[in-house]
Amino acid sequence: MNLREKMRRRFQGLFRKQELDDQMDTEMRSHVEMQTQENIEAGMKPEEARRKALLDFGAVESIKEQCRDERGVRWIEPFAQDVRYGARKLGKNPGFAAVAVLTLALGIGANTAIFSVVNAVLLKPLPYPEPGQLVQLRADWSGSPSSDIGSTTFIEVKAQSQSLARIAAYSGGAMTLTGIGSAERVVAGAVTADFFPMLGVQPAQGRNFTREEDTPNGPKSVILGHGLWQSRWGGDPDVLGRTITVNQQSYTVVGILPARFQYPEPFQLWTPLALGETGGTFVKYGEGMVLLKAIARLKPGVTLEQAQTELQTIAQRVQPAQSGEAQPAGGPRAMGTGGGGEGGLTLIGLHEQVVGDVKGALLVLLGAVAFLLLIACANVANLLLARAAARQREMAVRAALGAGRLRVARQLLTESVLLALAGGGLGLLVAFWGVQALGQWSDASLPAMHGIGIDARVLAFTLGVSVITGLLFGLAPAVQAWRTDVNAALQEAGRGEMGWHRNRFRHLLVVSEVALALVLLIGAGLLIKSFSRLMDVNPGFRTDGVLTFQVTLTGGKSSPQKINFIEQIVERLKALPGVQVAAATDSLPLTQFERITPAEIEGRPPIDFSQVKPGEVRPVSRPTVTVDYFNAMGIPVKSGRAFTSQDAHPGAGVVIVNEAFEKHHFPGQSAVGKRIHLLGSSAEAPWATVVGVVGEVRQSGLAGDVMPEVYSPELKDVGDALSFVIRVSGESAGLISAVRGVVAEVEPNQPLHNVMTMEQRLANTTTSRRLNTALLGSFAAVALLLAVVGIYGVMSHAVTQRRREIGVRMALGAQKSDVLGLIINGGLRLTLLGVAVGLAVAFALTRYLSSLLYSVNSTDPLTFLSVAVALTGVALLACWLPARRAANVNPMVALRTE
Amino acid sequence: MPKEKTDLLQGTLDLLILRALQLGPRHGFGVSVLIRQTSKEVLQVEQGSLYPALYRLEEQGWITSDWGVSDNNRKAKFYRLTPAGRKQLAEERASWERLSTAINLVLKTT
Repeated sequence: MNLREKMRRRFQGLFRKQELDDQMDTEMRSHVEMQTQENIEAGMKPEEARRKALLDFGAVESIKEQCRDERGVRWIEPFAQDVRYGARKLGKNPGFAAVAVLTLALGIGANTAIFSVVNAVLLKPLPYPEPGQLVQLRADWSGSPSSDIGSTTFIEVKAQSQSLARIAAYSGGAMTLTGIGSAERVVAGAVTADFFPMLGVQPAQGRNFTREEDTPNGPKSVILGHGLWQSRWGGDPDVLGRTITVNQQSYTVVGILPARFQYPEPFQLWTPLALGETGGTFVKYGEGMVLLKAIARLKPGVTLEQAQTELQTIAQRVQPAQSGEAQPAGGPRAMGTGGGGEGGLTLIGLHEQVVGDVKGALLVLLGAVAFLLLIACANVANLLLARAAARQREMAVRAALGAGRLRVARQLLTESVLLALAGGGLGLLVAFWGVQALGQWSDASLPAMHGIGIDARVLAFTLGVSVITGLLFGLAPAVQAWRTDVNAALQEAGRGEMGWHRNRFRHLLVVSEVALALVLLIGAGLLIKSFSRLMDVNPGFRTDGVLTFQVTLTGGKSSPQKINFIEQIVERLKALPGVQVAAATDSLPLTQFERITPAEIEGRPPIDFSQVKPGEVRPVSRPTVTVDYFNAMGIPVKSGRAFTSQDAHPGAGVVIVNEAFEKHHFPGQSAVGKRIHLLGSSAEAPWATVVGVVGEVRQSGLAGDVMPEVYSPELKDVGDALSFVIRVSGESAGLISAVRGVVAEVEPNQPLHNVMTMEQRLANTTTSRRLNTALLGSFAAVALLLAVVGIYGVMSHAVTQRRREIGVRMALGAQKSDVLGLIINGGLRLTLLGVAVGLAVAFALTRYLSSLLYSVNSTDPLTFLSVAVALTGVALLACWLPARRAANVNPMVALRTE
Repeated sequence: MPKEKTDLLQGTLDLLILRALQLGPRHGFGVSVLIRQTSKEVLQVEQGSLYPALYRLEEQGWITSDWGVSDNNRKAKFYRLTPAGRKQLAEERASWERLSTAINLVLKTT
């Protein structure tokens, strides 16, 4: 019979049991009938003949059973037997089962929870047709790639590229929705007409933008996101075709997006980008040029590399023509280096772009939980081995009664897998809880593309992990059973002695547990150290008692209108009870709003942009602030003076720089009294005199760099994204509604957003670091606990085993301290071996943590050393308890129990 | 149980079944009849051994089976030898002959 035939029979045996049984029945009945016939022919009466035939045949059912055994079902039926037996066996030992299942549930649950995040973020494709063809364009702004590209570049690429099937651009920003109810700030995306068709999205109601709408003076139309449509209009379908007021202008609603549509950025409302030939209408950074983001769909069969090569060529052709014209003043951060600005173009898969930085952290966490599960496995394997010792007699008896080795090993494996499946089931509960806990993280720092949850793939993962886990930790006792010599076991079983190799195996497990736990602990130690370093960083401003909020001006206010708005609000805020100081700025730290430009110093040669190389000119940040800003934010004046109200008058020509600026431009000298000139505002901008130097501020978060800064008190160039700062005495929470009232008095339709203290803003910037640290820290803590329990288990088992030996030693004169030393020595040797292996593994692996670390080297010797010492100490404690028990052995009792 | 019945040596049943089927395809009953008759009623194969053995041999691929109709028009399962079975028979036969010769030698030595 060939293999295929065999397989066919196996399957028949499994699924056609009834049919095969019927056939067997027929075969045997015909045998009996033939025998009857023969008997009749031999001269018997029919009844007699039949009775004789049946008698001769024997016990039909038992024969059938034997035949079934011979048939291809030999595998499955004993399997069911094993399962029943295993379940019964585990039920009889609930303590053991509970410990094992809980340990596994912890390990499998943690894996499932982290995997569900990995699944949602890394594995699920983007929810668009042929997502692999979608790419995002990136420009190499003086060495730091950014997804911001110039509109002129976009237009050229769109016109010239052969490898892209379609290319669309979009830009995001805040818009104010008025007309019904209170004014609302919404996050809006401005997109080219190609955008939705390229993603393969059709509005659930209405239509996409037309080309006509996507031109500078075309009809003003808007497409609503499903969420906004529900929250603002209660899902009223009649809103289609109606006119709504956005940024004080009328827009016609032409479409409503389907509920399932998601984009990596949280846009609630969409308008046409209306790019035109040169400029735009949306986020205007400089003259004639808009910075936007571009996504494209590759033509079928074109690879990312091919398209990229083509784009490089286009970029080289286009950009020389642009330099000079496209110097976006105060553009995004990367821009201000002057020089050539936007460099070569690169492409990145849209999915990769969306996933971005999260990938590294997720993979680290996934690795950490895998380690955790391995430790859990080692622990359960240890438990099983200890139990196997107790069951040795049972196994030996079974072997003596004719159970094959394979059969016994299989039965043990079945038991292990059962345990693992129970652990997996409970682990799912742990994972449900864990996923909920991770939900808050997903809001803060995960690309908001997919809901994180437990889906079919996660379930399959859990099942797979459970089975593999079960086989893994079940292997130890199964191998043990395989090797067991029946005679030796039957003789030994009575005395409870164990073979040497069994202990060696358990020792190996302890060593690996210690090693794995050490790796996790070192990883966690590095993260904790960098987190505490980060927390020690002085942000440069006060965080307590400083309430802030943001206002984004819309509707194209003129400069005097803005100044009036700011001054009125600051005045009224000051008048509120409990407010000490109030101020405003367009570059509040941690808000991502920052205007950047190169600066020229009096007496030094002017910057010649046709000559400078990328990175040569250090850009400076140029916040505009009101007079009391430093006081309100608690930014110290280091030399010179703070602003006075005279400084704010037009033409006063007074600025304050920070220490970083002083150090960079005037090393070793004082900046006070020097005259500087900021490029970009306008060529004729007057020179300004530095009157003071203030402390450095971490503008973009604690881990960010300190930029050279030039603060100006003149509001005429102030931006549209404003932040207000109030220094309060006492509790700030009660002030929030008063603050809203102030803004509503001055400008009824002006929404304000992100009302929070600087403390909250600072906490928000560290959310994902805090979460990574907390997660890895708790995984490491669990790992430590499991490893310690593992060591304790093995050592106390060893003490039990060696009772007689210890008794003999003591009878021969060994002291308590000798026994104590003997046991602790054994434990210490295992621990140190584990620590050595763990250090080597950690040394090789921690570099994958580098991206998560802050000012800590991934092989920080102090962390390595202190974690190793701490782990050894804890392990010694775990050995000490059983060792003390050993030392208290009464030799008489120990010898008599034999 | 009839007195004349002789217990089969472990492993010889397979040999006998294969040999019976070498003489042509037959059903289970036919195999037991053939063994009984050709051994002059000395060897009685119990059905409790016969059928499990048939299933085992089939599982091992030495024999194969088809449904057919017996002489007196009954539906019956007919077994026949496969090429692998023929080879197996030759081997078992050779080893049996070696064994019986050896035993005879021992028994006849005076």
